[in-house]
Amino acid sequence: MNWTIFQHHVYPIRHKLYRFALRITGSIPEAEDVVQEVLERVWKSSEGQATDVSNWEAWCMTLTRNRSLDKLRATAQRRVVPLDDQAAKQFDTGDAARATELGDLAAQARRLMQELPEKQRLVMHLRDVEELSYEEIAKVLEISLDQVKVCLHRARKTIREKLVAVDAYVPANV
Amino acid sequence: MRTLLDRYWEGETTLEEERRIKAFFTAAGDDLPEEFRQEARWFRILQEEKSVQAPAAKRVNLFPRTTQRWYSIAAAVILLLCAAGLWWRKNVPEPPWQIVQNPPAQKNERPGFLEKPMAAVPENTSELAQSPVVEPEIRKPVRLKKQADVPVEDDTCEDPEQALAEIRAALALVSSKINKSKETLDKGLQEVDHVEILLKRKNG
Repeated sequence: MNWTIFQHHVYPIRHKLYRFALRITGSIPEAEDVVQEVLERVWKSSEGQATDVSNWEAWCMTLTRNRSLDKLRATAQRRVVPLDDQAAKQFDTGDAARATELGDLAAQARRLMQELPEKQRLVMHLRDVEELSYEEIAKVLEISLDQVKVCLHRARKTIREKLVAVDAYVPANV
Repeated sequence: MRTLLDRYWEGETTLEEERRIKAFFTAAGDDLPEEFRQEARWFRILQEEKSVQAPAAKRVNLFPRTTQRWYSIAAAVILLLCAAGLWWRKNVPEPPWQIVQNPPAQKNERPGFLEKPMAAVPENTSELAQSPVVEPEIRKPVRLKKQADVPVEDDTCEDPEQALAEIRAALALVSSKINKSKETLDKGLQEVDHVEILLKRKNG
């Protein structure tokens, strides 16, 4: 792996990889490990392999997905709901009240999304959080374009219903 | 905006339209009509989700551990060989056949040389004519075991200064080899440090 390629194409997307791994594993330490392993794997890839990659982001995201799923299988945890305190820790902005509020919101969002079937959850994350195109999502998740569209439609529909249900319990000023 | 939002929930919007929706809610902040309250919360959550960052990278050892191990082993072996060589030169006596073949210099005798010194040459030539002829006794070469097998070498360094220079040259050669290995290792470690510095800079 060439340092220039790593610096310009791989390293800048590490946060994206981390969020994706976190979405799949639902565990902060596991997500950190996944990103570390993916970055190492990419760095140690041979020059020949590196020149074949046309879309670094998609390749890294696919590696992250595979590694995260491996970890999930290894721990026999197909569905992991993140702990609320872990979620709150992610949004440490220095303002305690806001951090709690955002932590609650994030935990709520994660809970809503984590309850979705795996494919829908990942499609929604890649589209709504990472803003990937349908084609890129299909490539990363190794599914068809139609499947991507169907999954996104179902996921948004479910989330909207859940938001309506939750709405009754959320204060109006949030 | 309501139409756009409905299309969003149906999964029919393009990426560009979705960005417009997000920008709308970001710009509006809390100053929004009641009908958008639910969506506002959702897009705020998405925005916060996107702000999640990976923690500072752990130290990534980009120089393969196996390579490091081999360099260490090579360096250790070289050092051991150097130490063993020096000890050998200092402590192990010369083989016996070499001692016999190279007797002390002051006696000036080697196998095959005259054992007895020649008689003084008389000044008077008539005395020389009368004096009996003394046949020199020739000592036969000492044949030692292994002499035929072992190549006979003269003492390569009779001069201590020259011997010291030779040892210095040998050590300089070994040292240069060690330095070369060390430079390769240092280069690898510098690369690791460089990566780490850049990672830290990126993490700000």
